[in-house]
Amino acid sequence: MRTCQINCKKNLNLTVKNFYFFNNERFISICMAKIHDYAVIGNSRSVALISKEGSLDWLCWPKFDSPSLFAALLDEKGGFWKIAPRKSKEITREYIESTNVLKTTFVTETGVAVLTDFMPVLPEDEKNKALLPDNEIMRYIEVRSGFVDVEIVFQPRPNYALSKAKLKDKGKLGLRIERCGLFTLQSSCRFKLEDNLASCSLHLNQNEYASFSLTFDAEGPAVYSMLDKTSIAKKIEETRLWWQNWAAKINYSGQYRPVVVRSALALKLLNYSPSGTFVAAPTTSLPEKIGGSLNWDYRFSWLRDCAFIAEALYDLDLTDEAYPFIDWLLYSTKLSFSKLRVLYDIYGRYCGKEKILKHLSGYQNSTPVRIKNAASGQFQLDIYGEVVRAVSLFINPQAENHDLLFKELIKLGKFVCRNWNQPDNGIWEYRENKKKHTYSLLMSWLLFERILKIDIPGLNKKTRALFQSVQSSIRELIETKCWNSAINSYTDTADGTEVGVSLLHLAIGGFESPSSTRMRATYQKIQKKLEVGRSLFLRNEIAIEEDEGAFFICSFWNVQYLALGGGTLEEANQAFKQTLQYANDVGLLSEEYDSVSQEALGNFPQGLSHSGLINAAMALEKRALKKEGVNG
Amino acid sequence: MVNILILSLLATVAFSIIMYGAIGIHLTRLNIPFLLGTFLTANRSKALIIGFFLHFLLGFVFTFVYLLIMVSMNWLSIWFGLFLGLFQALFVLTVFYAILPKFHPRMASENWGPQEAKLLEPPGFLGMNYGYITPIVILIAHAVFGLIVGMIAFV
Repeated sequence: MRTCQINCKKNLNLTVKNFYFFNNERFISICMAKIHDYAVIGNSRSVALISKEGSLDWLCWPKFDSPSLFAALLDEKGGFWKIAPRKSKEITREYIESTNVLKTTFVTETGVAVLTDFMPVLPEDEKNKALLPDNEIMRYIEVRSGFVDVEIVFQPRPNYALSKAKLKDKGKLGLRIERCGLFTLQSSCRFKLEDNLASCSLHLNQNEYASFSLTFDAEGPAVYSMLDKTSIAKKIEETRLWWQNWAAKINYSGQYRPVVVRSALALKLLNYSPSGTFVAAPTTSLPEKIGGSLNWDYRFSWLRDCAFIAEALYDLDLTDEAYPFIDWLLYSTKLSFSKLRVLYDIYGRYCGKEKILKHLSGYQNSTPVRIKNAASGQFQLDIYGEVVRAVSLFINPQAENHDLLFKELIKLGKFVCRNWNQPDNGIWEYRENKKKHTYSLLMSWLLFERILKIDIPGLNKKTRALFQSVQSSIRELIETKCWNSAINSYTDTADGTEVGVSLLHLAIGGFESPSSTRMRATYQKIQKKLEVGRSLFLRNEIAIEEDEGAFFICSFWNVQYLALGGGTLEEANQAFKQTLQYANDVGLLSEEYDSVSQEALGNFPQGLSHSGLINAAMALEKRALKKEGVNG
Repeated sequence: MVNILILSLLATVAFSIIMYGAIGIHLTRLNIPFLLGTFLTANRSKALIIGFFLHFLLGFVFTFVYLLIMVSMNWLSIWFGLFLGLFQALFVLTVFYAILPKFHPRMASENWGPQEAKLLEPPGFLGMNYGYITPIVILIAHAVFGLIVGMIAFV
């Protein structure tokens, strides 16, 4: 094996990193894809990232935060599973409408092949009726016209490539790797094993196909899948129906329905159904800056991100996902109540101590590659307000008994009463100096706003008075200390001089009118200082010094602000449409976007970005309806 | 009689603890209740419940068989119980697992691979398809089962 660096075809925007030589006869190029070249498949338990080149480069089983089996996303030696024609002149891909079933079409000189990738999904009651693998990815390639030479390379590298994959060929029972359970690769073709890498070349004529099933079983004997065309077609159909039935529940019929549905589907992939929570993103250490060290593990439940996601799902009437999250929040995090952690694992536990994987070179040499997340120990005051804001949406005091929930809300309120004046790490999780962040203060103000609005039955007069008094104090502090008349703008921190996009929440959260003089002045300052491309915003002025990318969530907050009255409906629509241009070809968003290189940055796909898209679309819809009402 | 039933229950519970403990720490994937249950149903949840019932029933049956052998040979001791347990384990590992795919209605065969309705992984030689440590776990579990049944000598 030797390594070289050359540029891949420009239209694919990929970089060839390695050539694997077999018996000096043939080679398979391993292309390191860019973040926006990936699409994602999953089953609300785990996900896999698949590049445009048909390479499955990221998979952690059985849970989001389990060690990886494939991690070529972070290092070429991390393992991958590629199924693609030897040479393609054109590659296009799409999801089957309203599903997470991915179809990649390869056009070659001699024919056209379509690769279908998915994780089978069935309704829970039907799933229980049959013997099915615990975890499964199915890949199916069929030649639609002409003939195509297809290459398959299966190079698993368990435990973030720390463990050697001992591939065993069990004949008709497939290839096996034992690692805290059993990974089994079944296929309709015969693999050649060499140095713990399985490869195979196929010459497929029109209507011929090859099918593959990768499964993982940890707590019982493996369950195999049938790989004949009829069985595969049945599984695709069942999965298609499941996703489409789920997407049909989305209550939004506005002009942006396709992108809203795609975002909801992406959020559903980040949902861990057995516990009800959401991970911020299914990847780790995709850099916020190429070559930089802002590489974090997002495979955990951030309360802030989850709260935004719950609001988005609630707005779409997807209560089957939103309610279980509230239950997770109340019961799984009970051990740490009323002091909340910033993030939890999917079962509501401490996520573990942050570690650096020194043996991985990182995405485009962006080191370190981290697993776990040290932000879990931070103090971030804003999460209390965000959680209460999300939870308050689900409360109907007349209809249901919420005694336990009310007790917990009062506890949260009392905690914030004791701590609202403390400096914190803030929404952007700065690891160094704690400061009094305006956004955190605003969310504390919002917490009391919501609690007092709910009119909790168990809230006695004394506590109510305390909450009202603290709320007034916070308002006073924001209005006096977080407003800087010298720069004629609200500032990111108390007594500060810099602005940040999170200040738009002063209007989104109802603290200020979007059209107030102060908000307009603040918005102008944000535009002037932080807008780095059309509808692309840096999070704050520190990001200018650090040469960071633009956060998608900031772009959507901008749309929300404009839609709420900070601008005209046309301006808001324009900003939204412009932001959508930055999504990749299958409508997925990462955390950030580099306006210079025009590449996605950060973990992918990101829940906060997609919830921002939905919340912005809903704000636009409300504004449009309001306008229609006024006109009518 | 009550003593025998209690011993039988204790022995089967100990056997289950060892087996599930081994599954929990990834030493084996041999899930006996699941394998027993899938004889009768393809429904995962039901298979586990039925399998547990059958597992305990078999525990009683084997206790009686062990006792019958002990009494007929006039040798009631924990050491003979241990011997019987190990003997049974060896039989299960070498003979029973080899022929299991032939009569389990949902188990695939190593020769033919998965077939419609026969999708369950076979145990393979000494049950090692379910993990290389499986034979040791089986030996220990049966040994403990036999020891507990052999405690009848003290009752």
